[in-house]
Amino acid sequence: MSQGVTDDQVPAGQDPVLAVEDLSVCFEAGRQLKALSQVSVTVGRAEIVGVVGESGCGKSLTALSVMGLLPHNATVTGGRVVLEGVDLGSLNGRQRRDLRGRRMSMVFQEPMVALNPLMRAGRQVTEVLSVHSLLSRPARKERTLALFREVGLADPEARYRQYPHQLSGGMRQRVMIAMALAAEPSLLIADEPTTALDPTVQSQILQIFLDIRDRLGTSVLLVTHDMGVIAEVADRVTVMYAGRVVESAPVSEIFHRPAHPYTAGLLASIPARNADRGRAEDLPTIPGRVPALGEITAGCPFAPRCERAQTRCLQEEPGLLAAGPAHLAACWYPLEQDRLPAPARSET
Amino acid sequence: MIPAEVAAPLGPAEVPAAVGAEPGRRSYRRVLRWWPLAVLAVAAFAAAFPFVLAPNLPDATDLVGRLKGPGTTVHGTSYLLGTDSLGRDVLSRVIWGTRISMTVAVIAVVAGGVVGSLLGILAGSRRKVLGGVIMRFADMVLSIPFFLLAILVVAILGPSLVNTVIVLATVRWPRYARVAFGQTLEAHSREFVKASVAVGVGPWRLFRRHILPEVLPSLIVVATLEVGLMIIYEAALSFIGLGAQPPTPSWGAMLSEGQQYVSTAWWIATFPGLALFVIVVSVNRLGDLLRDRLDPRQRSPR
Repeated sequence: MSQGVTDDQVPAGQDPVLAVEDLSVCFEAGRQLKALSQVSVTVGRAEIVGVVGESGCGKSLTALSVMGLLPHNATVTGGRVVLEGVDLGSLNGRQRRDLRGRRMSMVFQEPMVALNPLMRAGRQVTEVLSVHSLLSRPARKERTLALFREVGLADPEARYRQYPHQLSGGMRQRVMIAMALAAEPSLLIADEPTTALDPTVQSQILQIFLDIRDRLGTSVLLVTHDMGVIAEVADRVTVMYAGRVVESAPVSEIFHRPAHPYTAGLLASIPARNADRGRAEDLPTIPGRVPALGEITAGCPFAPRCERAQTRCLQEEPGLLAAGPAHLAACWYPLEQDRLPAPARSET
Repeated sequence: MIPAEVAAPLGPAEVPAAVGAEPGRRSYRRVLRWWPLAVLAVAAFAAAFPFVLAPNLPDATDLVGRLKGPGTTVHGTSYLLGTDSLGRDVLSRVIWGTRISMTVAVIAVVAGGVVGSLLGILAGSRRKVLGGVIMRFADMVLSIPFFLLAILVVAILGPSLVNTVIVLATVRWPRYARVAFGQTLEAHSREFVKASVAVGVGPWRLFRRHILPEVLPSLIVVATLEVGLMIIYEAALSFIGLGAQPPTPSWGAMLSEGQQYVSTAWWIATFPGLALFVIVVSVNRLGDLLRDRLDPRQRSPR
């Protein structure tokens, strides 16, 4: 289901909306724990980029660093985040806040708790407009109702007056998306936006992301652990493991020609919908577990779990290497291609 | 079918009666539980309009009617709760004392509460440096014994009711700061607060619209419980002569005067003490009731 801009990393001659460049983030917990290690992700205009990985691989942390909402004990130790040509690291708190909502916005995972229980749904959206002093008071209401229609809320007038507890999970997520879209940001970050929802509601919500991309040209950074979600909406995919980007490619490449053994393992672990194998133990898994922060030693962080690991993998950490057109993988012995890795480190 | 037959012998009259009786009795009890409100309403009225309730002026002396027992009538003036060593009406002084106690307690709670809450919320919102400084300072203040600090402040400013309020607010703000700090941290970890920040809500609006409504219920409970404590502290300071100065009818000062006569004129110290006891118990009970109603841990997810 990948459409639009796919086969090129970023359309030539056009700056990406978001460029995360070699971002490193450390947690302060008695000692420095490196949570993100030289993560690079780019999102082009009107592009939906998926970030996938297991829990704790740093995908949410990447999203939070872009928003500048890192937990108080985490600090950026290297790299930069560039939003529409502006280096976010060079901004002060106030300038940064001004970009939130207006240039970039975020949708959270749990619609049940991501709305203020004491505020009516409509008010939560008009608040975004008044924060950025957009529109007059009556116009804000009109705009909110229009946004409610846009995200597919039936009977927007009634929703406007309701409190979050009166809305279903799907409705709340729509209100969240309306909030995030209110000030027309160029970039929408969605952190597991459908994880807490039913499968049917899930695809409706994903459809909204496709809609706004097509109609408003909004770029989306979609953080998820669900390869199914990626297949449904993403143009490009970045696979993360242990705070690193291990593979980055257009969505069809990832699904048809995964180069990194970890990506291949993730894909193999998706339960087949209509397969004959009925027993749970037949579902392939990746042995072992994600290394804890600070546990990572020399070599490829995935090597201990990788059946293809060689001595080189245990000694030297691979950088991102070209594994095909617009396809990067951090693996010394990528799958399928089985050719010698090109020594040059490519740009993302 | 079978369940219906089994249920029938239980008696149709029995079940509705039990069900019907329960809610009525419960709601009756539920109202009675709030008795502290009634006591405090009377006290508040006495504090606001002591001249309506008090039969005599609180500082009118009657040298003939000194140390008369409860119920004595002197020159046609009856003293329901007796008179003190200067012949002043104990009842009237207790009633006027309500005004002193309540005013001092409420002002001290409001002053300490507002300062402490704001500092606590600020500390919880700016955790990195400012928060640490504020909370360590709060710890320092808490580490100094109350009476030591009170004596120090009074020694500098001189004994008076105004200074009593200043002492109480100075000593008690860390209590609110700690509660506000903890609640603010919790509020900041709430997803909807993060979501508001993510759409560009600034600190001031965040505080007003999202943090304060989360923090306020706990602070109200603390403030209510503190009112009781402040009444006791005011009486204690006045008792040792650092608070209200004679002839101000403070309960603490009255207890202090009365204790010299406990063996001969028990009523002088007993009635102010009784008033103190009733008010403090009521305030604390009200605080407990409010805690049951407002405690975030008991709030169901909305």
